[in-house]
Amino acid sequence: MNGTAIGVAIETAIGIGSAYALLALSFTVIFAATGYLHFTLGNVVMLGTVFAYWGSARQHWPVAAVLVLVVTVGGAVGVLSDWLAIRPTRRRVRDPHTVVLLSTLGLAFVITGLTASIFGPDSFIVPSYVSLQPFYILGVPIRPPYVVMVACLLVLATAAQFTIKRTRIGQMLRAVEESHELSRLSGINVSLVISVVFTLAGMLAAFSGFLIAPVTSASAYSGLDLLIDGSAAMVIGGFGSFSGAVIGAGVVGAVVGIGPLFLPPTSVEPCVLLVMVVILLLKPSGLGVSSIRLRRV
Amino acid sequence: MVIKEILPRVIDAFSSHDAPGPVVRTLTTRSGGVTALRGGVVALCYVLPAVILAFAVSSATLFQLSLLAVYAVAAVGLNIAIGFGGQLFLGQVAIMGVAAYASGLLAVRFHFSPWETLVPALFLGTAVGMLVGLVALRLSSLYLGMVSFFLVVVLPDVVDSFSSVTGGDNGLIGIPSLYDTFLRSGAVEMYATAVAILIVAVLAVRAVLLSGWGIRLRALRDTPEALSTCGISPTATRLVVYFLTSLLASVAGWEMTFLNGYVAPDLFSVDLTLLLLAGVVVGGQGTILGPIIGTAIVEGYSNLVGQFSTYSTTGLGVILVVIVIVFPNGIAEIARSGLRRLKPSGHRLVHDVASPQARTEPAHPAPSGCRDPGMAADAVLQIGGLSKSFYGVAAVRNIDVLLAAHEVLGLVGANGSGKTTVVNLITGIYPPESGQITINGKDVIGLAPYRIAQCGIARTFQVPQFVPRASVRENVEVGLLARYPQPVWLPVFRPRQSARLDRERRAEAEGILGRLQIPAVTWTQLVTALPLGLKRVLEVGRAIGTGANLLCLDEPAAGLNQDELDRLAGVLAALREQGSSILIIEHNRRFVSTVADTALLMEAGCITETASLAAGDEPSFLRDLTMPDPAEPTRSEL
Repeated sequence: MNGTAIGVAIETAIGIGSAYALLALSFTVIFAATGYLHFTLGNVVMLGTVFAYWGSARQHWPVAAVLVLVVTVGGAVGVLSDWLAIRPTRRRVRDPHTVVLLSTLGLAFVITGLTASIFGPDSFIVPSYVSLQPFYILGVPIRPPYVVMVACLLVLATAAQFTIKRTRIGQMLRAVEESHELSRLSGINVSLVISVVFTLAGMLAAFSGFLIAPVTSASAYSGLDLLIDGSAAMVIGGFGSFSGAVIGAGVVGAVVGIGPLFLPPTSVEPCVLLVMVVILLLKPSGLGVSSIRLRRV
Repeated sequence: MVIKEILPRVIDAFSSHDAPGPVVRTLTTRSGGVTALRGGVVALCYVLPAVILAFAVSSATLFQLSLLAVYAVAAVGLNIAIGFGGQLFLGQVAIMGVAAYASGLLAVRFHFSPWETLVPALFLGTAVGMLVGLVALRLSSLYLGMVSFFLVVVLPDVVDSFSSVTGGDNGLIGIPSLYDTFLRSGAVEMYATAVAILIVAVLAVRAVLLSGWGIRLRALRDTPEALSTCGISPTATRLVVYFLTSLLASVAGWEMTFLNGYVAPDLFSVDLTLLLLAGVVVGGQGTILGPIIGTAIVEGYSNLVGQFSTYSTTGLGVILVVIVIVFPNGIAEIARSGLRRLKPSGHRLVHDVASPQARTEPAHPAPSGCRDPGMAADAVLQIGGLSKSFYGVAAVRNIDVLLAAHEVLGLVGANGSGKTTVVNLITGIYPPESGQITINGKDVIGLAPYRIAQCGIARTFQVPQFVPRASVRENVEVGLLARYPQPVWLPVFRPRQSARLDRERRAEAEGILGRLQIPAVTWTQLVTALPLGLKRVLEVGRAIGTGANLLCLDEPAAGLNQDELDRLAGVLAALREQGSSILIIEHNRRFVSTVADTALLMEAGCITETASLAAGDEPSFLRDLTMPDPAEPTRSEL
């Protein structure tokens, strides 16, 4: 193992970590707004990769069009997942947490099954949105997609910060997170805000799929692994914490990026789970700084 | 004719557990001979079709049926966790995999005979399940579903990572067969074994769930707070749930090895988790036979569209979503309501149950002046310098309370003055910041709520806490569980002893219900059918059941009408007579001055005034306190 290999591994860790941070953010906004862990989101990322493949490899659309397609599909599936699997439980059932876990899990399987029916069960190589030709810094080959991932994270995280702190929709979001009932009484259309949250989360998740597709691949069956990665990132950072999600994604990215240096590739997912469990056992509230919640970011 | 007799029994057994009455009735009232005969007939009903099938269908179909029986065992286990215990333990398939690989590896690499691998496989599988459970205990319950499900997702990767031992994706081959075959190359024997194991498993699970454990698990699911205030550790109960579900999954995993003749990761995929989950929710969570029927239905569907086809995944996913949202109780509910329509309607619940006689007669007038001033020496409850704040806001500031035997103490005060916090501190729901709490001479600071309850304190809740899908009597039995300790193996291995315990516990519960004048027609009704007044009395009944000599009642009079208040006052006076000490948190001043010996006024976290009510005149602070109208319709919320 030489310096270059380590450099490439670290670069992969940072790049993948950035993409996962977007995924973890989408888990986090939904957790903040509804209090649920959304088991369908891993499959929204998967849809992002698959539609990136479909748009670019089969339809030969320009990058911008593929991006629009992916984000639209993500937003649509995000809001549909609320309408199909979460919203109906609100008044109907005794123990919404159990039911929501089962219904979002069921929906995840539906999406996997449908995607595999339409696109086939294979794993596809996805053309990249930027050149894959590496450039060199200190002898380490840097692959441009990773640079794009980091840049996207920086831009989107800043935008999210600004939106939540400074804008009206952010204000409403914070109110809804605090209490659905109070927000409703203050004249906020809670169900609209929640729909917006699910749309945004779906868009973020699909976008992170779009970002990682060229360096991983697109497969109908990758949703559950992505679910583990994304929820591990959120949980390691601390439920519902924005900065925590980014930290957690860094940890998961490190395992995914650097792990293959020492381990067989099949051990990566078990390791993510193991790291998550160990960190949680040591610090159940997660690594996020005192679990800052959305409202205090 | 026979069918008419059998059908209700089958449906009873199938839907028994959440419909109080039918099954319990058969346990208590039928004489032994008749029970055995009927049991035999019912058993024949189940077994005969299985036997006929064994010879009527092809070997391939027989294999599918055996597989179904194996899955059913795992589904029954899954249902113990999610349906009865309310624990989202989704790792059954991973445990099946662990047990299967354990038995397969022992058989192939160490040349154990198949039966010799049973015990190690069960041990290892159960150990892994308990390990996951222990991890989840340390974390919030939100994590349990996640961690246990992810275990299933990564299992194939783990198997691949050690492919030199496990055989990787190609699987572990060369598994010896369970029998020296002679009937249709062993298919019949395997089938018979799978069915026999399923029957044994169901009978064992049924025995456990019809014992006190059934009540205990449902209390864990619906109201762990109430369970712990009855002296039962929710943590220990959760561990038992994880143990049972892992054990059944391990049995299924062991069977898988020898049924398939090989072990490979794709036998233990997430799709199997989906199948089991769909089976359990279709059949009806919290029923005994529902998961088996549900698994049969979804497995049938899966085979119809092709097990490895994407339609199977899609369809099962749709089934899961639709059933959990639209029919949360599964087809058991549909079957039950259908049956109810067939049967003549049972007794209807009389809503105003207090008979005029009981109303006019003041149940037990509290004799004045019975208090012994010397009693303070052997105080039942002693609180000194107790303080608690939340986020820097002091809720309780340095309060002292002394409660003697035979004393009723009323703690009054406005909303937000810290009354309920005091009860939560005494019962250990919150840890206090400083101060001493002694119950019956035992220091209880820092003890878990169930340990504090064991010191002789029981409480009721502002919003009554019940197991909604259990009968009135079963809800009282929750309080009695700790006093009738019943190891979880007892119903299976010592059924007579266990049944005796059940009978005694039931009889004592009925004794309590009788003493509380809760009408006998309601005892086997669902607790949710009771009017609020009786619910509050019933909570007192559950508290009495624990044998506690100190009762904490949190706003027992809220939302009660005058009749209900009188009944409650009578109950409390009788309890006091029998030596209980009672701490009442209350708004209703008239109620406090009726039942209490002493009243304490709490303001902004401090006790500001104390007054004796024995003299008969009302202290000024009690008069000045603004009280809600007792007939206020807060009851509609409950």
